[in-house]
Amino acid sequence: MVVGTSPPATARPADTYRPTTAVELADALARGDLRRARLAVTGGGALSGRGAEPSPVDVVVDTTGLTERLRHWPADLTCVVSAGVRLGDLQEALARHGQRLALDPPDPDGRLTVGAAVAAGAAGPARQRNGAARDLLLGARFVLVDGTIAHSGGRVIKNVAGYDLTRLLAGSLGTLAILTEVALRLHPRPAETLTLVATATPEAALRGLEELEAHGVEVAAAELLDNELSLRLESRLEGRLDGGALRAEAARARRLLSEVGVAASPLPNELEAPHWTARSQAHRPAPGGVAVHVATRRSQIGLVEEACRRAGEVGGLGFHRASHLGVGVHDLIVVADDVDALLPALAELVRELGPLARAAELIGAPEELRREVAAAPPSACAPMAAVKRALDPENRLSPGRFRPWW
Amino acid sequence: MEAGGPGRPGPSGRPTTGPGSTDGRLRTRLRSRRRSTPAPASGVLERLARRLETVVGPGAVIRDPTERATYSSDGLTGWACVPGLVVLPTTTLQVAEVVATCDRFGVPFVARGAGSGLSGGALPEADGVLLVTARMRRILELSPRDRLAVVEPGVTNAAVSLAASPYGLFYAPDPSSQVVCSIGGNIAENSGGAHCLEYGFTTHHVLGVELVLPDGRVVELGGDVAETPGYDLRGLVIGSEGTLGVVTAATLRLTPRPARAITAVASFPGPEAAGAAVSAIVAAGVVPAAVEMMDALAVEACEAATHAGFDTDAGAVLLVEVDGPELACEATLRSIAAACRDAGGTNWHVAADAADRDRLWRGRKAAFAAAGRLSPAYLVQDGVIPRDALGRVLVAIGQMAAKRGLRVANVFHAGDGNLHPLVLYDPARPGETERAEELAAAIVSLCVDEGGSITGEHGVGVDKVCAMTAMFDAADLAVMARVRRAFDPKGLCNPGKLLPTPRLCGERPGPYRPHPLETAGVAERW
Repeated sequence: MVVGTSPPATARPADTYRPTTAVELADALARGDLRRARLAVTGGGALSGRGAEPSPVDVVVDTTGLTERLRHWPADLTCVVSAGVRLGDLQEALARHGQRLALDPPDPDGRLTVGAAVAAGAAGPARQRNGAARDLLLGARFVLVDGTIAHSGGRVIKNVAGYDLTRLLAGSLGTLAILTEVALRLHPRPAETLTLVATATPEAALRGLEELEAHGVEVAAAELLDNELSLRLESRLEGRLDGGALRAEAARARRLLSEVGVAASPLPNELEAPHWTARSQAHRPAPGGVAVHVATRRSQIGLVEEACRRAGEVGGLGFHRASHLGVGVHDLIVVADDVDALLPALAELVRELGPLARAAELIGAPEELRREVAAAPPSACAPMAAVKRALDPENRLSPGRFRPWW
Repeated sequence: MEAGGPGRPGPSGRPTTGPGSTDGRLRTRLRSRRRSTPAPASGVLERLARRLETVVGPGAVIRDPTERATYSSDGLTGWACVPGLVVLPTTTLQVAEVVATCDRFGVPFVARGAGSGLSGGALPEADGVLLVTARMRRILELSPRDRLAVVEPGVTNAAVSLAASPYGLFYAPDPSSQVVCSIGGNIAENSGGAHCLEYGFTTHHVLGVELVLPDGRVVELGGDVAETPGYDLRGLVIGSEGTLGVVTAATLRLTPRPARAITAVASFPGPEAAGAAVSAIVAAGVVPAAVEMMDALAVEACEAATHAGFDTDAGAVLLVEVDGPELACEATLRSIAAACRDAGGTNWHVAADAADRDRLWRGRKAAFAAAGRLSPAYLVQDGVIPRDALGRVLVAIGQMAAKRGLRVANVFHAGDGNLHPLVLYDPARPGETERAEELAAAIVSLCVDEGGSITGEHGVGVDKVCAMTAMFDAADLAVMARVRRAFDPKGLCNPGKLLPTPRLCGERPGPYRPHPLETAGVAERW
């Protein structure tokens, strides 16, 4: 069990404040108890492990109480939902109309809120076709640390009015504003899905995916977990209208894959849902583990595999690779009994990754590891820090999350 | 009916007086254009010109007034302003140096790509520099295996797809002006295109951007990978209409061409029925690649121009395209045909071959330019409504037009709710120009009341800057202004665009005139 470092002792532990409406929150920030407080923001635990540990704060704002609104427009495939609504609850409500939010990030205890998923820039296997949280956002309502309530975007799928502050807030780890509502683009639930699994090295798996794409097969999800390849095909219509198109497509896919040396077989239908939940979850480190989250050009997956192998030799520790194959995003996960064993392995991995590590991030790492393995500041560090200063001049909102950059 | 975006009340919650009220928010604008920034001292431009000549060479600095005047407008020719100087850099370093120099001299600057924009985003400043990227046209990298291309901002949209084509790839955002419009301009406006319903907009297809900040520093936003650490400034800059800096390179995501694309048309008794069909298609969970609608007036114009074979007896025509694997396409098309039939559609015709398909699309794209046959003048509008409001809104637009004694031709991207009403009028008839502009503004108000947007793809620019208060309240605009100042504390980077100020919002543009490229038949409008 890895022992994380504890933050420096404060005079007393932080209070928790759990608003139920945006207006209530804004009021507390502008005029009430939170007026000069340093704040951390939580909501369903998605941010745990992401970013640096926040600096000491006075109050933790728990957003799980912001659940007042869920408005669904099925005929426009859009919805507006309060940030504290759980992702699972939202999916359930949308499923009643045969729709879904095409976002399937890890959510092991079912507590992940919509707001937290957006603030963390969450994504799952569905990103192959539908992208990450940022690609599904249409608008947002948010509160700044000075109590200003503001909106960006709108609720229609096409809209270029004003700055895209919605995308700026996605992935901002709760450091620029507190999200209270988001407008989302929805998709129809696939009527049928079909999953193919195969054993394949990264190079072979990528070749297989390329072959499918070159022949116009639409792949809805493509995950590589170590050397296990999972591919998902989806139909958009009820089986009877689909006319067996999905099954024919799967047969075509298997043929194309075998031509490049990948032997894929279909997974029984009843096993599909847990299979994909597990493939999503595989990207998060278990307690005690650390993940190196790295984005590469997708053709570089072989280099990533090589780096893992060599780093594993050094520390005597193995790295598990969970890759979103088609987009080139990988989580390289290592588990050890103590911090001292992790550090050399992680340091070696970052060294082996070389220039690929410039877009890497540690997840779940205790502070001393993070300090040792810090990535270089992003090229646009100065304007990023300027945006932070513009929206939170006193650095009161989730301070330290992007330490040491700002 | 409920408007209801995030946190917004429906129409019943809207105040009736004061800022944001229905009466005050869309004001008429005068013809002359006022300066957006205080005039620099005399002689500054001359000194600046000499300095810039040492940066980009004398051949790349235009001082001659007649030549400068050719850059007075972009695609929104009702607005014109002769730039103080025109500069045509060829490298990132030159752009950075030009911008840094403007910053030092305190002179405003505006970036321009192909000048095909429709909101006046590239309208110059009279005492400023117009920085034209047209000479930055290189494709720096094309990696088929990584599905990406790195291009300079002056590269045209179509050139990217052309370069990617031998590899079975294309660049998905496809505005109708793609033969001339630049990637830099696409990024500024977050451009869409006919197929954005399925493929998304520019923001979904740009992995990284090299940006010259308003003080001349160069930064990289995003990169050649799907995620990068820090804030998503790339997402912020896309659609920022050239107000946060100048893009000098972009890494674009390329998409594999679908196995098959099938186009079909159907006739309807009227726009309401066609709108109901579109709503039914959307609600059934079918996602076509494109759904375009034309009403009877628009069909009349386009048939006169192109003889594409559209049904001139129809009240409205739907043009639908599906793409993907062959069998899936056919199944999807059957579903769409059923939805059309149920909504009263007739004359269902599936394009027999590539030539047939091209003919239909050419017809659709010509409808706009051909509107000139219907009327001596017309105003183009760009607004968005939720798709379940299509039929209702089209009927309302018809009523609003009739009340003012005007006609409106509708050609638009029904699949994503993006309307392009063409308000037809005769400037020779007294008062008609004013009524037409008032109708165009009223249509945008209607879009907002329905929960939509003031702009789906043309942008705010200078054209809709005073309509921003219809969609955003004072707090929203103040936050946007804060972010803008973080990039541009001196207010020199494309000032007078996007965010309203009291100084700006007392003005009105002239009547719509087709862009010369459009008259020459080189580019379609949208």
